[in-house]
Amino acid sequence: MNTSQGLLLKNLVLHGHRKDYRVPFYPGINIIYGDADTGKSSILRLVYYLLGGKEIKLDKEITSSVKYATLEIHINGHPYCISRDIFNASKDVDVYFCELSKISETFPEKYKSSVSKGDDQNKSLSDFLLEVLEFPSVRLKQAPTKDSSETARLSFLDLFKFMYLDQDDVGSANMLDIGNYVLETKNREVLKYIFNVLDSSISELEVEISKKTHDKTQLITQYTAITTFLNQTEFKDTEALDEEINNIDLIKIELKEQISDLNKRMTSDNALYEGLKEALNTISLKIEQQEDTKNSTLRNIERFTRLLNEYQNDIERIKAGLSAKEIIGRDIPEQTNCPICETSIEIQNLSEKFDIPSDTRLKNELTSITRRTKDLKQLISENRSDLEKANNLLSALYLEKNKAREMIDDELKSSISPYLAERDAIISELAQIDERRGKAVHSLRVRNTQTGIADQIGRLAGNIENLKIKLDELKKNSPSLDDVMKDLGIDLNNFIKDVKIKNHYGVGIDNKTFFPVVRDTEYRKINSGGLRTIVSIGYLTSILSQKLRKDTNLPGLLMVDTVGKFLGKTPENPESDQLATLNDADGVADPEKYKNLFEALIKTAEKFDENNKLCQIILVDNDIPQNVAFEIQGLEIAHYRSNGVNGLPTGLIDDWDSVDTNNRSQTQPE
Amino acid sequence: MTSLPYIQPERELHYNLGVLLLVLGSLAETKKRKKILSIDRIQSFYFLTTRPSLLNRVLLLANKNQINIDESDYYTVGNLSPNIEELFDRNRLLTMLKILASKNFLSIEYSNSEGFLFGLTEIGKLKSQELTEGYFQKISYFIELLSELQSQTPTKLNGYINSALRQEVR
Repeated sequence: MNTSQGLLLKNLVLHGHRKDYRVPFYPGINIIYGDADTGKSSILRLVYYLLGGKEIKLDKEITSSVKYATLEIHINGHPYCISRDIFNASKDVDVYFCELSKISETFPEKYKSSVSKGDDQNKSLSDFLLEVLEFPSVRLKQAPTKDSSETARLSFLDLFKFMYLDQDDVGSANMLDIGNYVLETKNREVLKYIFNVLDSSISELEVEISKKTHDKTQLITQYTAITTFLNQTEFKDTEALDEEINNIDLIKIELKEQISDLNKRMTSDNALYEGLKEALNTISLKIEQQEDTKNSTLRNIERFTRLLNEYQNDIERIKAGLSAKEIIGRDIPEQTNCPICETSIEIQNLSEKFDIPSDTRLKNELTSITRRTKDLKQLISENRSDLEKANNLLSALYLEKNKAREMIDDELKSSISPYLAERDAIISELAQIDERRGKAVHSLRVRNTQTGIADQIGRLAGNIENLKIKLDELKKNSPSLDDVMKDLGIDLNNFIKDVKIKNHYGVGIDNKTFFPVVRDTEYRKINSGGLRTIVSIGYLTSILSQKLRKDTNLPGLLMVDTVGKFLGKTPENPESDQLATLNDADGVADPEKYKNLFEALIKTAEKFDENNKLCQIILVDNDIPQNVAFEIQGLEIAHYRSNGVNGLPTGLIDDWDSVDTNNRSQTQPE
Repeated sequence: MTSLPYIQPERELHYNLGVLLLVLGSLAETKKRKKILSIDRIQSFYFLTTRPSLLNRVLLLANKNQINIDESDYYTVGNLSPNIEELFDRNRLLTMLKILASKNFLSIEYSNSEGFLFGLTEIGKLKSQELTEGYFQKISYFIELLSELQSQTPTKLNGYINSALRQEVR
């Protein structure tokens, strides 16, 4: 398949918070299938959106995981990356004139997100796409039958209606705005545009050529000016810049190695510091122990001294008591006379208030206390010497502690500080180098933009050439609307023949509405949903197929969401026979037609391949026919199973479940 | 008799009789030969004589000269929690006075203003002068200082003692 002509989708990338999600596309048939709610349709919606589509519904998985999306495409062999905010549809769209991998080296062009926002200065994304696709830019009459009708600029989205059947459109009685008179009229004009049979086609082409020539001249002037400026300011060329960036990267690696080396040395030298610190800790521990000993001996000395004093006083008191016995007399009478009135009074309760020990007992006590006094003195002197020891040890320990402290301070001053200075120097050098790199990258971007302008000039030149050829062709054998519709009818007939419906007759295109006719019934009046599905897909496929015969103004892209809509997929069995018969009024059994439908689409892609022309058909469904499944191996680009069976991804956002679980277990916001 | 297995010298009868004899011998009369020892005064003086650190604080409060007391006088176990029972035990004092009376050591006079005032007979005085053994030396020294307080009224004296005791508790 020749991929250097027309539009080719390459990659869809969703830039997420945790990671990027990528869906690749290939020329020919692309099949996305899998369980419901796994993000299949989101892929098509995002492609539509990135090609200028209106705001789209997105699943929670995508809105909470994705920041923006990028679509990498090739148009006529040139790479482009379209990047768009998925939350704000009115923001300008970034288009990089390069491959996905080189986005960081180029400046994007900004385009308005919709045609209505664009003007002569600010082009819209649609204008850009039509231009690079080399489709004529035209204004369509709102009321084609009136010469003075108001006109509106044709948008890429108008063409998209003929390339994209979404879930609701397949087999729908309202496909292609059926029932909306104004839009129906507009779509008919678009269809005429696609087949170059607009009344104004030739004059439009001439205008287009003159406009493009003008643009080209302008770009050449711009390019010359930029080139002169860059040369005069001695701006480095791309190669020199590349080399500079490479050199800077090398220096950066070297500096980083230096830092890690420095860190290692710092840690090993720190061993001395750690040793000192440990010694200090040991000393402090010993000090604590000795302080304890000191306090307990002090306590002992106090207690023993008090007791000793008490004993000494007691000794003196006993001696005094003994002498008093001699002097006062040992005998105490039980009664005596009052010294004043001579009446007899009794001396009572003597032993309650006093002790009256015998002399022997007093003397024994004296000896025993004296002995105890000696013991106490011994104890006190032992404690005093313990105290002295503890005090000596303590003063030595405090000295040692101060010394260790000083050594640590010195160590820190002499060993760590110089490292810090060196480290600071390297880090500031790294920062400078980063700045230089940033400047070089910026310069490189400027250079790349300059190259981009040159490319654009080349493209315009080719564009003009092609337009001229087209114009010549149109002038020579200008196609008639009748011929176009006839061709379209033939292809539709062939497609339906391949699907094998019953009562296959009266297939064609309605001359007034341009909608398909089957069994002489116009599309919107067909009752069977299944038949409408076949006809709607067949209709768009036929429009696509016209590219095989003639030059149409439509990219070779067809996207169908839910191919098998309204079609039974389970093979026949006797019990459901009755139902099957009812449904089957239109030909072979549903599962058979379903399979034929796929095969007809595959056949179309093969025809393009045979003619060495580019087409891309993206099909989405929950399932694919069993027989086809075998044949199309290698065509599937995404296959999702919500339970992840057979190691298949669980969906487009394949790490959503784990994130959800993590969040639940953490319960803390990031 | 006490049931404790060791002797408490402060409770020994003759030691206490000796102390009382010394108090009566030295403090019965002022320098102007005026008798002043009522029961209340005896009780206060007797209490202070046996508690040198308390005595010192009372002297300080009364603005009198303090004694030079030894470490052994206050740095004792007993001084950590002083026993103040004796200050209020009138019977204990009366028993001792009765014993001294039975030995004919005690002389008593009656004064209209202060009631009974106690002193020593000639025999009593002689005996008190003989008490010079052991702890009696210290007691005599304390009593000498107490003479500074002879003229204080009993109420005032008790006030000093109470304040001093409060300080000690603190």
